[in-house]
Amino acid sequence: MKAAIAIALNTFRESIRDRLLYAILFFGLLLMGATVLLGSISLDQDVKVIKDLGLAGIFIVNFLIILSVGTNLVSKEIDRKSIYAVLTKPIERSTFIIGKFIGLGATLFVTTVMMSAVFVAVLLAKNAGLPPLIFVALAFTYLELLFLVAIALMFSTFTAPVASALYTLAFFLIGHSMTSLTRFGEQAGPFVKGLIAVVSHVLPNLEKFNIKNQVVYDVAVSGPQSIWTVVYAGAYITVLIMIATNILRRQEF
Amino acid sequence: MHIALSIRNLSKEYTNFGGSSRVVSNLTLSVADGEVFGFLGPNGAGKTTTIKMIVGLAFPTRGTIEIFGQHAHSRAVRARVGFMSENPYFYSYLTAGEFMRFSASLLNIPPKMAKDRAQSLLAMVGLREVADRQIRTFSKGMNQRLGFAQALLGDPDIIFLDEPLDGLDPLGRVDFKRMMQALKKEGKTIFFNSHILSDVQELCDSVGIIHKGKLLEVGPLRRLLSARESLEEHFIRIVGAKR
Amino acid sequence: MPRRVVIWLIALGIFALTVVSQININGINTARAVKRSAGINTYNEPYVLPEIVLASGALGFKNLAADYYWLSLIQYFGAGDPLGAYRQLSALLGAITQLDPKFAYPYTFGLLILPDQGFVDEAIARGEQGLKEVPQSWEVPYYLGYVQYRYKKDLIKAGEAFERAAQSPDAPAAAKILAGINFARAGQRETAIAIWRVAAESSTNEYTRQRAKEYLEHYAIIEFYEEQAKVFKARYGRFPNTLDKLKTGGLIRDFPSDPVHIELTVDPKTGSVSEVLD
Repeated sequence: MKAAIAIALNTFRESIRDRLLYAILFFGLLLMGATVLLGSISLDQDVKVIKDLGLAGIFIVNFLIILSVGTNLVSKEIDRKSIYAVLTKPIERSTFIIGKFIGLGATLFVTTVMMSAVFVAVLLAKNAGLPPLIFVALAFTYLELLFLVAIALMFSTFTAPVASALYTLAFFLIGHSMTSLTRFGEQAGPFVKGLIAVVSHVLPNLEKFNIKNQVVYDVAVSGPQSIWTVVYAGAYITVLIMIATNILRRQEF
Repeated sequence: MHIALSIRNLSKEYTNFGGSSRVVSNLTLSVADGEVFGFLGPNGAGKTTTIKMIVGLAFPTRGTIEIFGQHAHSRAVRARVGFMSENPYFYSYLTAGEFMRFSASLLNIPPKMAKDRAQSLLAMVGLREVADRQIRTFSKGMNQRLGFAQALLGDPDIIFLDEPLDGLDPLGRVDFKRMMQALKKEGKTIFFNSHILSDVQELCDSVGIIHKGKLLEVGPLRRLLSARESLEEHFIRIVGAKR
Repeated sequence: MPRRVVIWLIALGIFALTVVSQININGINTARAVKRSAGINTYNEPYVLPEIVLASGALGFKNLAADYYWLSLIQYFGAGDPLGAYRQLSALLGAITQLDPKFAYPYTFGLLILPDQGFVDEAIARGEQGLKEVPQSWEVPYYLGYVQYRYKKDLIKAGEAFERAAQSPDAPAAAKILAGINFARAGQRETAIAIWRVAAESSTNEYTRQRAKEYLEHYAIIEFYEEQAKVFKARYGRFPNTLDKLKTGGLIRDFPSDPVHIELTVDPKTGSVSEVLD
C-alpha cells in the first residue's frame, strides 16, 4: 500500500506541475466566471443557467484533463522508459496501476474543488442559496470522473495517447447514450431487444451519475439510489483496474 | 564460489505477422558473487533483451534465470537488485531529490534514511548542486548519473547496467569507472553491457560475447585473451568470424 | 533607440493595421448590407436539430443544451428578424421544452410571444405541455387561459385554464375572477385588460411585467381612438371608416405609438376599434 501511495503522490505531483493542466484549469475558472455573463442575458433565468453551466463546466473541464493527462498516464512512461525504474523495484504491477489511478484521482479532486469554490462563490454572490443537492451533484460528478479515469488508464496501458483519448471519448458517448439505446430497443424485435439489454448492462452506463439535470430543480436523490450508484462505480472501477493490471502484467518493454 | 546470477538455456522469440524471430538463443552463463561481468556484442545482438529478461521487463520464451539461487523475478530478489536502463529518462517535473526519495519509497526505505541516502548518492554521482532542479532541465549525462544513483538506492547486492558509459564525456566516464571500481571493492556483483571495450577490459573480471542472439564466448578475461591481443581485437576476431 | 524597442514598435504598428483593416471591413459590410434588396436574405436563422437527435445527442447535458437554445432564442427574438417572420420561434421553444421539460419560464414565454407571431396552436401545445410538466406554476395556465380567450375565442377552455391557475396558492386573486368572467361570457376587452393588469402588478418576471404594461397601453390607445371616433361622429354625423380620418378630420395631430404593433381598424357602423387579427 505504501508503494501505491508513493506512486500516487508522484503522479499527483507530475500532473499538478504539468503546464497543460494549468491551461485547462484556467479555462475552467474563466468558464465559471463567465456563467455570470451568460446568466445576465437569460431573461431572469440566470440562477438556472449558472447552475447548469457551472455543473456541466466542472465536468467538461475535468474530462479534458482526463483526455490530455489521463490517457498519457502509462503510455508516456512506457515511451520515455521512466516505467523501467519503477517496475524493476520490488513492487507488483498492480501497485503501479492502483497508484496511477489514485494519483490522477487526487489531481481531479483538487481541480474539482477549485472550480466548485468559484461556482459556489458565484451562486452566493447571486443570492441563489446553496442547496445541499448541489454538493451531491458535485460528488456524483467526481465519481463519474473517477470512472472515466479508470477507462483512460486501462486504454493507456496498451494504446498510444491519441487512440486512448478517442476510446475514452467513445466510452463517454456510449455511457451517456444507454438510456436512448434502451428506448430504441423497446421498439425492436426480441433478439435486438435482448442484445441491447445485455449491452446496456455490460457497457458502462454513465447516466447513473448524472443528477445535474435534476438538482437544478431540487429533485432529491434517494439514499438507496446513491448507495447503489457508489457500489456500481466501485465495482466497475475495480474491474477496469483489474483489466489494466492484467494487461500491464503481460506487457514486455 | 557463490553464484550470483545463473542463466540456463535462455531463449527469447518474438512473434509477428511475418513469422517469428529469435533474438536470444539458448544462452547459458553464470556470474560469480562479487564479480564484474561485461556482456558484449554488436548492435542488435540481444544484450539489452537479455538484461530486460533478467530484471523482469521482458519474459523468456524458454530457460531459467536465477539470482542468488532464487527466481529472478520474485519480490525478495528484486529488493536486492539495482538496475539502470540504457539512456535513462525520468519524470520531467520532479526534482532529482524528489525522484530519489520516490524511488526509495518503492524500496520501503524509511523517509529519514531515504533522504540521507538520496543526498549522499546524489553527491557521489556529482548531482548534489542540482538536487532541487527539475529533471527536465538535465542533460543526457546528468540523466545517466541520476540513473546510476537510483540503481544504488537499495544498497543492492547485484547491479545491472545497460550501457552505463554511453553518451558520457571522458571526465564522466572516468567518474563512472571510479564508482564501479569502488562498488567492486565493496563486493557488489556488477553485470553490464557496453560498446566501449577499453573500459570493459579495464573493469571486468569476466566477459560474455553475444552475436545474433547466440553466446559465442564466455569466461574470465585473462583466459580468453592472449598476451598480445586486446579485448577489442579479440572481439572483432570472434564476431567477425561469425559474419 | 534600442533594437528591441524598434521591433516592438513595428509589431505594434502592424497590429494597429489589423485593427484598422477590421474596422474598414466591418464598415464595407455594413454599407453593402444596407444596399441589399429585401429579396436577398443573408440572415442566418437559428437551426434546431431534429427531435430524435436532440433526444439522444445531448449526452447527459440536456439542461445545458436547453439553456443554449434558450439563450439563442433570446438573441433571435431580441435582435429582430429582417424577414419579420420568426419562423424558428416555435421550433426553438419545442427544443427547449423537449430537452428540459421542467424549465418553467419557456412555457410562459411561449404563451406570451408565439400567438402574436402567428403560432397560436403551437403556443397552446406548449401551454398544455407546461400544465403537465410544471404543474406547480400558476403562470402557465393563466396565460394559456388568455391565449384561449383572445386568439381562439374559446371562453370555456379559457375559463378552465384560469380556474386551474386559481388553484395554485401563489396565483393572484384575479385568476378566480377571470375564470368566473369567462364562464359568464363577459365582454372581451374587459377580460383582456383585467388579465394584463394582474400580470403588470404581480408577475415576478421583469419581461412579463413589461409586456403586460405594453398591452395596457395598447388597450388605452384603443379606448382613446373610440373616444375620438365618438367625437368624429358628433362633428361629422358619422363614424370614421378608417383611423386616418381621425387625423385628416383634425381630431388628432398624430397617431400614438403602439408598443404592441398590432394593426387597428374602426367599424364605420359602430365606431368600435378592434385589432386586425390574421
